[in-house]
Amino acid sequence: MKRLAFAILTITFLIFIVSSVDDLTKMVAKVKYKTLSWWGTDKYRYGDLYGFTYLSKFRVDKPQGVDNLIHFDTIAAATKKIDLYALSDSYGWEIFKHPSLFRNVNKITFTRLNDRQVTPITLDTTKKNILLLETSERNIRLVYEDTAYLKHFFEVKNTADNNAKPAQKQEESIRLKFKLNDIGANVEFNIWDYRFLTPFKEFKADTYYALFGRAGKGAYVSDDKKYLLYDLTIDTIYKQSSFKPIQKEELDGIISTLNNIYDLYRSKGFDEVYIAIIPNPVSILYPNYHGLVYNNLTTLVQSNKALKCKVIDANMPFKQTRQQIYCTSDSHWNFNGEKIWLSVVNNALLPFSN
Amino acid sequence: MVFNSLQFLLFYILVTIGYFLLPSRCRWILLLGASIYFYVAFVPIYILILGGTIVIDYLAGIYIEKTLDPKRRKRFLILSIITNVGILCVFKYYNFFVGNINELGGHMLYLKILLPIGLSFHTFQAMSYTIEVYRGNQKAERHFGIYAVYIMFYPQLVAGPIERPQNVLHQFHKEHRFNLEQFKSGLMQMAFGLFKKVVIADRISLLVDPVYANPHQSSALSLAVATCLYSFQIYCDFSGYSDIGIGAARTMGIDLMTNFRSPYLSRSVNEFWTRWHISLSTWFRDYVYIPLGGNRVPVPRWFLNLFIVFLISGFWHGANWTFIIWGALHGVFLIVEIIKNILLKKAGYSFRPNVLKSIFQVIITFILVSFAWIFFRAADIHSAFYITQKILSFNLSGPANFAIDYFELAFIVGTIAFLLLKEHFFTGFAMRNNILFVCLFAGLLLSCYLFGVFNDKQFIYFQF
Repeated sequence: MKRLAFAILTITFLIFIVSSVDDLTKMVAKVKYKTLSWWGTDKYRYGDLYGFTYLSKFRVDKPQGVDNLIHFDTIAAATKKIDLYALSDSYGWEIFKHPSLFRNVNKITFTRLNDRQVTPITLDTTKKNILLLETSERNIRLVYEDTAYLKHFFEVKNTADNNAKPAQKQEESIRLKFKLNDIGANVEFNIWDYRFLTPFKEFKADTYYALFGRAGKGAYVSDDKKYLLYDLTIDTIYKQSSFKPIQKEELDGIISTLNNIYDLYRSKGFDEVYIAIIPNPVSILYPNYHGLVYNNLTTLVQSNKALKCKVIDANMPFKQTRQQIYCTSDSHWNFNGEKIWLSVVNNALLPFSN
Repeated sequence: MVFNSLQFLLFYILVTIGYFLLPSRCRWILLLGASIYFYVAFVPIYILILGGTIVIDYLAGIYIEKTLDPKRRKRFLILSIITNVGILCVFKYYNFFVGNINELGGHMLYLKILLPIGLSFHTFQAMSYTIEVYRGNQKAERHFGIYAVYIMFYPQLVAGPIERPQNVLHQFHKEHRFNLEQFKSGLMQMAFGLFKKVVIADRISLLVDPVYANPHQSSALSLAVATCLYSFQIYCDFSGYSDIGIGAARTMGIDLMTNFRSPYLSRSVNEFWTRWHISLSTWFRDYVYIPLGGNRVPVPRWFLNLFIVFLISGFWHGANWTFIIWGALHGVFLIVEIIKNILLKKAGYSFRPNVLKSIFQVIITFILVSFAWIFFRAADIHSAFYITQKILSFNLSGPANFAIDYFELAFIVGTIAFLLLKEHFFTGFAMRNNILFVCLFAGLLLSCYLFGVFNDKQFIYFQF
């Protein structure tokens, strides 16, 4: 009995320590995300919204990678004229790893918006340096109020300053910082996030949905039952919501921030600054969800006469297409959505190809 | 760290197993360390306030006992009370007073402070210690660590029960061997507490919160239903917390006082207060009502005593007029009830037990208590009066628009019925049959998992 108690105590203690230190949990996460066996993670296995709800109906394979998209690799890299710099949220992270997806783009440097990452760069004056502000609709109102960060997401250095180490290098060391609170997500990840538990989670989710007509926290099932929708993009208490009305002052603030970014980065040597807003799935698919009124944020920003940034408009093509452009169990787009967006971006970049 | 979290599950397993593996003389160290961790997991800095009051009350207790001069003894008691009440006033009531003074034309500055979690509970527990030492009912605790555990014992630290030193202190000195029956009883009470919180209280909040957030958009019927259900929400939320705390302590062999005894089966408001938040109502009885003279005074003074106690009780809950009115309402209900009883007695009316009459009395009491909850739940005094007015208009023609469907409403009613039946017929949690215990325990946990609402919702009484 005592041995059993010691064994339980040891295991619990280990889980507790790992959960209390973020970097230890991240180390475990790296292994669990790579593992495909029973003890691998099931959180994002079938999309982030599936991971919120575990509804078995939405257990569909994650979207394909970028392999099947059009790659512009016929031109030798040296002849490509554009160096693309992107401030990107999760929609673009995979795409921006592949310069070949962009016509006439020599290299892409992107910085992750959600992590408030700061990336030192040196501009090559023999190329056209384009700054692309890629942001999903749900992030606009959150991102463009953080003016302090937006002033330096790219730290433009002269060639003489090249010795500066990239910011990412410093983050690789493990910091054994013990957290006292907010470890719930880590504990959940360490004791509850395993593939062998998926059937239990699905059973609970399906039972709950059958009884009460609600998915787990974080997502709603669309009325036609085709999509899981991210609750942040619907509930009007959140700024990410497509239905939270926007006042003129707030809109003016967003435009003013974008204009400041435009002026700042143009003065630092960029040839052009683009904004590319990716609409929330609910804005395109269900603009009148449960009688709510779409706030039209994308159009209000894009068509604002005071806006100095050039606009890459994905809103119209997304509305017009008959293809399925969003994932059914993930808050992001699918292969078709990526393809349409890339074609819009590539068209916008055409003037810089000559 | 809330009781209905996975973090607490890990914490509980570690502390409980560690407790029984350690030799008895070292257990206080584990309990103190665990309780400090439990507390700092909310807001670390406030441990300094708690630590400060523990030191002052510990020393005050010793000096009160050591000192023979009655005047000096009283001074030490007053020092302890002023320290505790002073901290409570600064952190909980200062901004309320400033707000009211500013409303009247003053220009006082607000303090930018957060209320330390569970402040009202542990200050009251600390005061009960020094008062009992002063009265000679309790020996001053010489072991600082054990005294600190008495104040900080994690199962009751942030939302009670508000313990008395006579009930608990001696238990921390005792050697508690592992007792399977006690352990099972504790686990069962914890499971039932969790069930009350996640299956009943948090599901009811899905209906109540939207209605109370927009009373102007809600019909009278919606408000009435939400108010009735709120009565059960707050009960299940608070008694669920108490059950988990009391159960967790019992698994370690420590018995905490009962905090609830089926309050909604009370046949009068007076009886309600002997069943609801017992640790607080008896605290007020012992340390406020009786010192004021209790009922051994002329009738008008008796009523005044009652009213004062309930007014303070309301103010204890929160620095808001809504809580004060809530307390005042209960005071009025109680006084009216006493007057009614005196008049009936004078008229020669005899009280014979009768099932139908009892049911009627239970319903009336529930309606009165629920009515008072309106003030407790409403966002502000204006909303509370608006809701009251709308419900009392008895205009039930409007639609009942809820955020949940009728099936879910029926589910809630079913779980409440189950709760009332369980609490009426099975008051204990002991279970000698191991197979039955495993089945019921697993069944309760499975119900929590399948039907529970897990939305990081805090316990309501944490705000006090």
